[in-house]
Amino acid sequence: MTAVITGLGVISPFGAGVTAFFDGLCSGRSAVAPITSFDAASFPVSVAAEVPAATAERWRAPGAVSDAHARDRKVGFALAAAHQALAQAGLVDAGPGPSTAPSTAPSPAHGLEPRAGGHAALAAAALSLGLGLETALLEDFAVLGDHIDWDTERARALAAHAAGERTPRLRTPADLAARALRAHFGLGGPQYLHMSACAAGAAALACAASLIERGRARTVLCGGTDSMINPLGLGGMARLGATSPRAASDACRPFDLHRDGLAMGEGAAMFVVEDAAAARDRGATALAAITGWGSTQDAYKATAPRPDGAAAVAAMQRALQRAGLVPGDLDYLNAHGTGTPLNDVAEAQAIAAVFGPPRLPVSSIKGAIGHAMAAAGALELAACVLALAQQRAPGTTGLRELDPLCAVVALPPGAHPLRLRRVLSNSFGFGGHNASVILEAA
Amino acid sequence: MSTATPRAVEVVALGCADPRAPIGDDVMRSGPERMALRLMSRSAVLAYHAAREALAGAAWPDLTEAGLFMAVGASGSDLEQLRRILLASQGERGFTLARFGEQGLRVCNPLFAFQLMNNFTMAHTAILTGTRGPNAVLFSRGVGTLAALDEALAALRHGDCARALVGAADSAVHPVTALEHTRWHGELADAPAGEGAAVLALAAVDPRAGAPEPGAGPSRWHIASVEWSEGGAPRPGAPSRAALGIADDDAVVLHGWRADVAAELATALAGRAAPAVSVLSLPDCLAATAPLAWAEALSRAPATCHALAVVTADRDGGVGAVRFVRGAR
Amino acid sequence: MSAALTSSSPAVHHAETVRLAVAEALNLDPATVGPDSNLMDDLGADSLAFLDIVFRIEQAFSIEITRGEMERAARGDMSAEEFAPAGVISERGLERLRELLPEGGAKIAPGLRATQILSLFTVATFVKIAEGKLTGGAQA
Repeated sequence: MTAVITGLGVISPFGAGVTAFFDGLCSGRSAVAPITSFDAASFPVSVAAEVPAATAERWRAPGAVSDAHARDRKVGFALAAAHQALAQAGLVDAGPGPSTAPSTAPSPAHGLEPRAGGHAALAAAALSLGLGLETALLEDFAVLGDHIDWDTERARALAAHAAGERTPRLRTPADLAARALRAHFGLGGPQYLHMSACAAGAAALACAASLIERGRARTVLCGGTDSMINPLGLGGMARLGATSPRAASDACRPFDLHRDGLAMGEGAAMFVVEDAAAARDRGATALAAITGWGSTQDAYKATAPRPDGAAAVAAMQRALQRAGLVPGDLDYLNAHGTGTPLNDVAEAQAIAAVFGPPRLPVSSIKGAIGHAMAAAGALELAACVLALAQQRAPGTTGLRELDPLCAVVALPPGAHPLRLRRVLSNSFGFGGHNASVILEAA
Repeated sequence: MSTATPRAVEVVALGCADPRAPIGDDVMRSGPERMALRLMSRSAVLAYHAAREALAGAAWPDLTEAGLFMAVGASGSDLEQLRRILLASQGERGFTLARFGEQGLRVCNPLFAFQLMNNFTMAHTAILTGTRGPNAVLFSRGVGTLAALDEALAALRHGDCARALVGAADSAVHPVTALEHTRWHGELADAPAGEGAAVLALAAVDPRAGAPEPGAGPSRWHIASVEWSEGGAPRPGAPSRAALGIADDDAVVLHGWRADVAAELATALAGRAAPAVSVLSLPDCLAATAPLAWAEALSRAPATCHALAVVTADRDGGVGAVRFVRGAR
Repeated sequence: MSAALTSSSPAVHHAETVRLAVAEALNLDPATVGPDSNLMDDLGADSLAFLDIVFRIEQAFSIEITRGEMERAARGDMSAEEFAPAGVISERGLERLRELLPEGGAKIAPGLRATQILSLFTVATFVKIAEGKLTGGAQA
């Protein structure tokens, strides 16, 4: 069994759809700009790569502003990207997508109502989704006052539940986007909800390929969705010192000598993955094959990468081994490339350890669209699918002067026509999760 | 790395943070744990406690290639930090984002962020024990934990790793989580809320080879199957015995029952050759419920029991079964 | 130096506050933390521990210590470019370090990178930073 991608959908800071996304990446332009989705003027970080307001509004799960599924940006992103992917795979009718026919108001179980009309394959389809954290609804916490009496709140919640009323939500459920996807598209198979931070999106694709290979599922909707561009998410990352202190469009400069931190991003990339033979039989077009994947743990520090890069090296080697390839077979590497001082140098050393003297073209798209956290790996693999299709690789937006300690062939900003047959994408998460995935032209 | 022979997966050891015997964090006061504790949520402490016990039983000499597959629940942060943040974010007319950005964030210890990232429930165990192999951290509210076991089995059977820890840690008593569950489900009469963790140490074995894993006890349980159906909409209807992989003569252990699901399952299990069905009444620990039930059932199974199906359900209506058999079959 | 000061002097009070903040952040018995303890080598601090230490000192003294101010503790008013062109600290930068962070001792040597500055910090370094902040605040 070989897992192939037959549908792809993207919501990114360059807007809705794969064309806007990939053209944006190839333009050398950064989508990092002053934050508009909330007033971040007083925050230590005031820029991010946001999904444009018009796109976010268009795809926002419908409902009043107090509904958690509407306030959690990653839910709408996932629905919209999944619709694109399923439509391309021929598993739902192409059309304007989820938000045109408003969902019913959330039930007490905060689900969306099931929708008819999907392909029969969806009833048994698995879901493998990289998910970010719950979104804390600080305003809801705030109305509870300075000293929250949890017993009183619980009694109030019980009474409200009995009366069918709503009380403050405090935070969105971590699996809200998965619930929305399952309900909206009628997915009835098993689900695998990856919480491995910045590696989650890549882990979700690797898991999907494995599910096909081992026969656990015939069709998998997979990908990643996230937004931490909310007060607690943005504030927390800034407090950790992970974000660049500069409020500039080049806040994130992967592999650059003067890099000083990441820029926050958001979005979703969703894929339909199925067995190559089954896809061929039903007349679906394979966009790329997922042939290799590997995951390891740094088991080192909470945030700092293992300086010798040994676990990152092992993840890439495991992916190559699984694909039955040697390092020389690869044509392009999409780096995790966060633009933080420690990550980029550790990753460059790991790449050198696997691929030898600099030859392999490498780029990071985080200078253009920021770090979309749990969605980052999925967005980067979406870029790899499009690179294979268009035979051009996106450069490293924001890179001007290569750090001599980063001994990689870092592609400068812009588009790079290349002969691309096999590509690898790295994702390394806070907590030490490493995931590498190899895609091959179908 | 892949092997031609399909490999069986053996349970080598168990570790628990038992919800009935509460675990303090005093176990963390020395050694490398000392530095980690300030970053750890309650669930992270419980996970490490269970993993350490499982590893002590397994006595594996080297963890460099060992896998770690864990299910986790919601983040479970320290509420005192949150209270401080909210207090400092109050303007004359209550909470404002401007005050939060200026003052609220400043009174918050930056390390608070780590308690909000639920992947660290698993990551601290890797950092403190040194497991560096294949891994997954999956969200679960109950049967989602079976997906973590399924991923671990796939990695072991494929030969991605020869040894792996798999389990979950979670708390249903964290005030925010408890409040959320009350909002969704109302009063829960069937099982009290608790917190806990359980971890199994698993090893891939060639069923034809003789040498057992070091530390493998006389029980020699193997995992035969993992099957589940998700709760929530759309629910494909009552799970059948066949869909859950339960054999006619399995001893069946049930845990975590919602009355409506229990009734469905009673119908599914009716007419079996072996009527023995035991019911466990551990507190509901969300993601940790299933592995706590596996550990409890395995350690209490009589020597005469050769096949055991542990069936768990969750508050969303998900149902799943893990089938354990003695010896490699 | 501190032996000449009386126990009620502000300087002793500041040093003690910093020492306790470090001990608390690192979960250590305060008796094991001295003014000359190197935070990384002697006390096992990592980059996250630095965040925690800075936070506790900020809270204790009601001050704010920015990333830039930590850097200035090492290079004074020298520009980042002059201090460490291409990331490696220059000869002039090393001289400046010996002046401003003498506690770095033999670690201040050619090849030292700007990203390794924190490895020079001792408990006393943070006392200096905090006191600089407090004095600056009083003059403002």
